[in-house]
Amino acid sequence: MSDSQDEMQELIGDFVAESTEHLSTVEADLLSLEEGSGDDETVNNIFRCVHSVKGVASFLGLDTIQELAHTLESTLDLVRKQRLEPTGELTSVLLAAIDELKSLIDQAEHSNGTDVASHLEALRHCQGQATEAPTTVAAATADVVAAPAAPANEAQPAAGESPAEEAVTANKPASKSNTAQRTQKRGTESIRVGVDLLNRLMDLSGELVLGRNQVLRGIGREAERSLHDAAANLSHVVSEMQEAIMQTRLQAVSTLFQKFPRIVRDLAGKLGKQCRLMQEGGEVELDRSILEALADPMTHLVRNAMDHGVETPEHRRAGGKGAEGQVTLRAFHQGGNVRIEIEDDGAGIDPDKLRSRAIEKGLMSQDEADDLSDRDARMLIFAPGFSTAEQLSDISGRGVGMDVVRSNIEKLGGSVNIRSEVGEGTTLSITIPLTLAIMPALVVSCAGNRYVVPQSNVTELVRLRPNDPKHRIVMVDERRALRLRGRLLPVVDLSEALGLETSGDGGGCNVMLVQSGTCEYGLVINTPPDTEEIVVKPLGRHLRGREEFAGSTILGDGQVGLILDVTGISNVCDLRAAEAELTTAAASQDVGLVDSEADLAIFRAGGGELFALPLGIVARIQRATAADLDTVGDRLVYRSAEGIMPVVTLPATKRPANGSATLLVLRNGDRNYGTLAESVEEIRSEQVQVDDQTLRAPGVLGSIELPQGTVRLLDSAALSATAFPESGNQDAVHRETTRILLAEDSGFFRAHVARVLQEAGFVVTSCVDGDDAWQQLQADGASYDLVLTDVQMPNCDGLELTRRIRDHATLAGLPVLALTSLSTDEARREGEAAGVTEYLVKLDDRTLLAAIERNIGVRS
Amino acid sequence: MNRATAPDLILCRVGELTIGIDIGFVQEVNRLVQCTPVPRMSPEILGLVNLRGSLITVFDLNLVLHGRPLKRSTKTRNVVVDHDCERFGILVDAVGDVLPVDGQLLEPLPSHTGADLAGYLDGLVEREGEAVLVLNLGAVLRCEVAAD
Repeated sequence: MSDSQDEMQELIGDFVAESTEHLSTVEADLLSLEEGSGDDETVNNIFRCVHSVKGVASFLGLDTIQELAHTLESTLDLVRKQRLEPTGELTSVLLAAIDELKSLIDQAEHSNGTDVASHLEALRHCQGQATEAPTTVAAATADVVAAPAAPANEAQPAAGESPAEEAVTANKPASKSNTAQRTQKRGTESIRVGVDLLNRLMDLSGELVLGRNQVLRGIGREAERSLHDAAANLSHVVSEMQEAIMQTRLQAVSTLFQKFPRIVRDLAGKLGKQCRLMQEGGEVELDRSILEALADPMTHLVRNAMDHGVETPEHRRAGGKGAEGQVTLRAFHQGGNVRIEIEDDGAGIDPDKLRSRAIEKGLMSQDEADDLSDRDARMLIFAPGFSTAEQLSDISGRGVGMDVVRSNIEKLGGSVNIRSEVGEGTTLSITIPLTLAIMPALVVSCAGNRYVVPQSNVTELVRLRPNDPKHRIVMVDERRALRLRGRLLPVVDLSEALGLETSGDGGGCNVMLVQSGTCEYGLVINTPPDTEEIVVKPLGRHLRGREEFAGSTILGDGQVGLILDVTGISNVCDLRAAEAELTTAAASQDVGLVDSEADLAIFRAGGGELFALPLGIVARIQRATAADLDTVGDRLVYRSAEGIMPVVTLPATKRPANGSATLLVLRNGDRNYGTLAESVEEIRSEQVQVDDQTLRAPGVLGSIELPQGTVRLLDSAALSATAFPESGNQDAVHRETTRILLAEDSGFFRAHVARVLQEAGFVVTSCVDGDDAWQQLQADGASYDLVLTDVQMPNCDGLELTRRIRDHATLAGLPVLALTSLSTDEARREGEAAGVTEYLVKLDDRTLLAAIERNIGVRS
Repeated sequence: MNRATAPDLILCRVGELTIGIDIGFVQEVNRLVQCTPVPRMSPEILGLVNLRGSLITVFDLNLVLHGRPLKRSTKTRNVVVDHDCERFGILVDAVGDVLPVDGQLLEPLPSHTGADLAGYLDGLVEREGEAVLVLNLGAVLRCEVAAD
């Protein structure tokens, strides 16, 4: 008895799974029917699905389900015979009935006796509206479908009293005329497999890989050839198997998309809007678990698009758009990730509204809001407790949600972005990894154990060398920070973040920069990380609450590694606050953010002589073999895939007869050139004292004393003039009357820029700082045509100098070009606020000359 | 007072105590190979272990029951139990016989049992004149929550 009960249970279980699958496509089919885009096959498909549900339900004695399915089926039959038009009203009734059917199926065992009278009533009412005579075409179609009533001998446990029976049997594999339709709908064969089983297979395949690795190690070198071959084969098969098992977890995005036509339809009705839903890229595949986790955030975003995005027909017409709005769901691959976009052609998001909203809510001050770029302002919708709907509705916009959407997506290792034009529409794009199951990761050791950081979180690895002032950890207001390319990033020791004792001084010389959401920070680690592909495993219940960990994995040698959650760590260590503090600190005090201006590449050439070039103009340093170097006319050139590049040799530097030499590739606007070195000594970044008197010579700006000896600082302008003799200064004649005041505190730069300008034919007066320049201007302001100033200078900086000029009665109109090595938007804004005419990056001589050219004579 | 029948037990040595673990929970007994500690966890949780591809959290029963960390020896065993659909490892000093019930009733704990210890026990059964303390697995697995 209990056996047969078990059997029954199992049958019902199968029925539920199968019916749910059948019905999942029905909704979309119904909607396309309503739209008029469905064809006969669409109706037939809906019909078949409902019919098979009915059949099995009656076999299992699920009477209520059977009754509802039967009534649905007869209604659909009328549609199929084109005696009923799939109007909006009919579709609503059908959809509601299908919904009911689904919920009955969900609890199939208790479905008998459920009251479905209202649905039956509504369906019968619709049936009553059927026209008597179908059109001839429709009759013909129905005939074709119904004709081959084949003697299907599969045990179809259907009650065969309805007219539907013929159509269904017509679809059994006995009929030739239906083969095409069938293959079109059914696709390749498939079976249903439990996710648990797939997960187990994944685990086991992972173990198999470990086993394989051990076998390969064990075999060693001395093993017989045949054993090696077998092992190699095994290794190949295992890898392929793992990949195949991975793929079993992938599902088409369309399974996620398919519920949206209904949502959009229902919402449009509720909101009194007209809206069409388009889908693109439904075939893109994603890991099942990701798809599941995306369902809620996506629903929220689509609802938002409908509620806040798409306008009412009246509004749309007033705005010159068609009455019907459009929401597009789009999925595509992008660089190893999948991008899903939700695009609407609605009202767009007005950044100003968001700004004022943020101020209203006390999230920021007026000034802060004004400073926000439009893009950042739009990102505010993801801030906790933010809702912009002018009226709260039950559709969306309770201000809980968008922040949850974002954090849910970030938990999946993805990110969400927003693009919007007021009046044009909004696009929300979600970028997520293909699979959560296997991902590339970096493995770091800390206090004897290994931890794993997903590669998607890591932006950069920085190795800190002792005595390298360029990249180093500084203390700013009690906070440790890394100075990196003009930025200050909060850093934390990994051991400290995890609350571990570090055994002595490991050096802590590597920084892994990680990013999560908007927060970027560095994790200090002792040894450089390894990379590994990992399979993510969930944490047990005891560890689930731990913010620092996102999961765990089994490393290549079988050991367990904990996966770090970079967002969690930033929360635990309060790094977001640290980042904010650093930003203010960096703005308010000089923490040496500006990379020291005299970064020099020091190299030997000309028989062991030391030379230096500003690092800023060195594009790269590479090996050049003798074969790559060639003489064209009397000039040496370097041939590479990119083309030919002139090479300047310093006196007494021989080109290598054979073997290779070091080639410093130097920037000169958009044309590079090279110079040969015997060896590169070092990159020196501390401030150096340039002696611009003693060793000054053509091509040499001055000299520097270093422990290795005297270094001659080369004049890159002279070098490039040698490299490109043809680009001589024909304009020089016209420039001789143009006078430029140059303010620059770095002796090296002063000499360099002055030389570039003189080379170009300008008359240059050099000043050592802003004060000096100001005195010059006050004494003889009228004779200058343009001021070129460094930004960071002692006594009076470039911005101060600019302000003084702008405030002066007669000098106010003088063009001021600011030179900087730090070109951030912020710095630019500050410069503009002070009245700088143009902001230029140092060491780009061509741009500099072009900018001067642009600005002389425009004295207003 | 109604006394429950004791379950079949696997006998383990934990310090000087003989502990019985309901065999219904026990999946396997193995030697703990390598255990990865988890930073900032309460010390009762030794860490995570790879059990043929799945990860289990391992508890130090010595530390739970009488506050002394386990001393690893060749007899140390990891008892893998299945509780609430999740697997755990319970590390004990040694594993002995299986004690069948034979309809024995669960005796109440002697009154002098410390309250701390008593919280992790269901009762005791006698075996050859020796008391076998029956472990309340749920309580042990909750110990970390309790420790907070």
